[in-house]
Amino acid sequence: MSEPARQRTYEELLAICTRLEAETGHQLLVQHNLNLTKGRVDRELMRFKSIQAFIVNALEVESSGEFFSLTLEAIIEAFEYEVALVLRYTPDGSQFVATSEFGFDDPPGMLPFSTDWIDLKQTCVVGAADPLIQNWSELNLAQAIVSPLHDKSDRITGVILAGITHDNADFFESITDEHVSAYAMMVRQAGALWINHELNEEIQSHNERLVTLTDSYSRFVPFQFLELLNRDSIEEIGAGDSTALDMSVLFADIRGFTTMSEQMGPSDAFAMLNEFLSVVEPVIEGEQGFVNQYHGDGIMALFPGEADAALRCASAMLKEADALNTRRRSRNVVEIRFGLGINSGPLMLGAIGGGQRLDSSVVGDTANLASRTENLTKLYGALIVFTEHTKDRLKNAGAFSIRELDHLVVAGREGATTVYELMDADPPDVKSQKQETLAQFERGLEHYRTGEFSPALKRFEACVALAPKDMAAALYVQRCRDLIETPPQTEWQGLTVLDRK
Amino acid sequence: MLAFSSGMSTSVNTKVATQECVEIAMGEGGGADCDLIALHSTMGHNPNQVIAALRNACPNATIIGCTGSGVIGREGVSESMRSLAIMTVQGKEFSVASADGLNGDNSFELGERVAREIKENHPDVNMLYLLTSGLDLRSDQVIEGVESVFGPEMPIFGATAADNGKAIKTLQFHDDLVMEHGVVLAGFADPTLELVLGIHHGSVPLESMKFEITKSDGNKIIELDGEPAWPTLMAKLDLPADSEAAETMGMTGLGVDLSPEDGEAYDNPQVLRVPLVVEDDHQSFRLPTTCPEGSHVALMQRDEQRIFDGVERMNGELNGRRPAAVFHADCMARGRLTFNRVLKDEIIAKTQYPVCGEDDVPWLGVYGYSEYAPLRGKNQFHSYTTSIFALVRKEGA
Repeated sequence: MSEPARQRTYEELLAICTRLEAETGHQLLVQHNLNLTKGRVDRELMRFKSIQAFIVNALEVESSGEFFSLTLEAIIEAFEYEVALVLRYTPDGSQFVATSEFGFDDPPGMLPFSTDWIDLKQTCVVGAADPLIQNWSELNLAQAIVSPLHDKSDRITGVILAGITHDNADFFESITDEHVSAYAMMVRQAGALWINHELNEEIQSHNERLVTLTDSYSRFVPFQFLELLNRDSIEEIGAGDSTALDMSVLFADIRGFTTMSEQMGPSDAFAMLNEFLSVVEPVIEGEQGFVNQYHGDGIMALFPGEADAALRCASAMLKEADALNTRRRSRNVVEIRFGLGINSGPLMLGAIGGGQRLDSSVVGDTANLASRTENLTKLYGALIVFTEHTKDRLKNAGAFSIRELDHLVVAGREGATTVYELMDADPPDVKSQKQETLAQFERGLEHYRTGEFSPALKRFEACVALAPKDMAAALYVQRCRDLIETPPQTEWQGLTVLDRK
Repeated sequence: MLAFSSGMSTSVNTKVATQECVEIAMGEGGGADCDLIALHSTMGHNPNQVIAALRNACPNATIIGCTGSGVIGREGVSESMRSLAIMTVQGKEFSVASADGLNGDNSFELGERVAREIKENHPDVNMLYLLTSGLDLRSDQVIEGVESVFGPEMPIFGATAADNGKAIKTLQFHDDLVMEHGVVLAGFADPTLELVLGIHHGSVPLESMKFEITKSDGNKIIELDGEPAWPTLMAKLDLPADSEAAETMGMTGLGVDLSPEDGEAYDNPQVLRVPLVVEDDHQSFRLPTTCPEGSHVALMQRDEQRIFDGVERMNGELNGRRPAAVFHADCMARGRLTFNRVLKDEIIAKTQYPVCGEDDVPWLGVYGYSEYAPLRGKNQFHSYTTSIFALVRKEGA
């Protein structure tokens, strides 16, 4: 059994009351101090929240003035100081110039400076008795915190100063050494952000130049050329880089260019050539082709895809040229006429040069024959001529108006090639006449090939009678007459041998 | 009919903050239609710049206001050194008067003076919004001065200005006047409006910490229990006698007993006062009210649960009605001096949401040093409270 509770004396009760009273008072104090501590923690959290928000906002800013104004506002918000300044060294380092300010009624312009007044290498809190504040009395500062600003070479270019003036020193919390690390971090962060901004601007400027340069390069070396060589950029190309491909090659050649340029002078000739190219280049690109080479009065274009694209392109080029000529006629300038030759087959595409200078080039019989084929347009009076190699590669030959022109051996080559005319770009009347006489023409060719020149002549004469502008039929009329008059000496193979390019 | 809107900004740039407040309240360029602006600002903003920027944005408006330790808007709470909140009012049914030089000796006289001016300008005033300096005054005398003109039934609501807990100086504004010892009184005369109040402090007396005021002079307490007042109070808190008011105001809430009826209405048997001025000799201190000899005060301790309960009880007074505007006076001791951000935000959210719901009810609040709020129809002065003054349209208005 427990002892019955002893009755306390008055003195004991008084002592307990006194102790409890003291504990209650102490509890109030503890609670109060706890609240103050919580308040400090809150402010620290808010400070870092402000710094975070500053970093996000600072990324949006464009100009230096705007950036440093934002920086000062962020410092004021984060640390609850009264005033702030961004100060930059003058070129001789003897003074500071205020480039941004916050909270000053009368912001300073220039401030004298001596390294004896403060160690700028670190963040410092300075008071009214310190030489920096004394020498900058016009700022009316009771206290300040100063942290260096660096450039990208880590040289100190200025400082960010924040402080409290004598006028309001009673209201703003004192700047203590506890602020130093957070303040230094924020100023460093601001400096780094601005350096990043400047570097980004430099990179952007370089990039823009690079884009312009690449764009300029691409006019000399087409992107498609790089793609076909499996290269990303022109600097990856070296002499000898090449690849074997199967492609269609289109040659276009302005007729009578030499004579025309003599008449109009080099400047106008250049203008004419550029006008022509500005019209036909988009057409080539539209058919996924690209101009590989310009040569004097013409171009060589390559079509890596289907051969149909080269034929469609040739036809479209001539239609665009018609529109161009309508405009040129209205300006009373000479029209541009050109023929197009197309061949398809294997070729080597690559870079050639002696190391100092490179050029994109195509090597191979396919390109040579395309060039020769273009020459044939003059012989047959055709706008577009292409070879059997192209015809064999057509996916949809039925989409085109085609007729066989000849089976021939071109100058400089040994093998025979059959060549065809694409009639799609002919003037409508000519095209329709050629289509009407197509059967006669084909039978004429059959007779011609087997050496039956008289029936062939009749067929071709019938063609010419119906289609007087069919120059190929007229050519065969003349050939048949010549062969009737002077029959072939050797066994007739129905082959035309050209001894001139 | 008066129309209200409000805006708040925490931008540290005074010009930007002012523009933001006006734009939130009135829309871009809407300031021209504003007739009255009530503003609360914390101490970091330059008051002259605030007023100049408001004048620029609202050239036709009468400007009134005071500083606080923080501001409260419908956007939330801010106790940063640069916070600004405004209530804009459109309509002519109001009158404003102010007087400078308020102290413990002339409180009645200045209260009467501004009230008389209001009554002369607008005899139909039906409620009064009072902002005074927060440190050295006899608030009960200010109230009596005003009541001497309008009678005791005229509801007086408002706050005393605060600084940021330094208890050095508080500022009051009337147009271009920036006063340190000012009384600013605005009378609203819109017959469609009535005032619905919610007031609560949520503190409890410490039984062993009661004192009798044995010697006083006006609002100056010279002795407690026959001993020098300030050292006696500090000793109870285990604090040195040379402590300053600013350091102790979070724990020196002194309760004064209310009548049982008032206590019931208040849901608290005591009303609080806080010493904000300590005399230079650190022997006596001043309360913001008259302190008769022989009366008793008790140190009070906050009770968080009672604070939250009080917030809920206040909202019951509105009975679901949406106010046309809410003025809000909160004791600065209930701000960051007492609560962390989360709790403070919770208290304000719990106060605002039942009143406003999802609606944009114009709201202007200040963390001042004390509050003016009627209790059971009798004008009263309080400290440590949350006081909500909802201006509600009368039924059928």
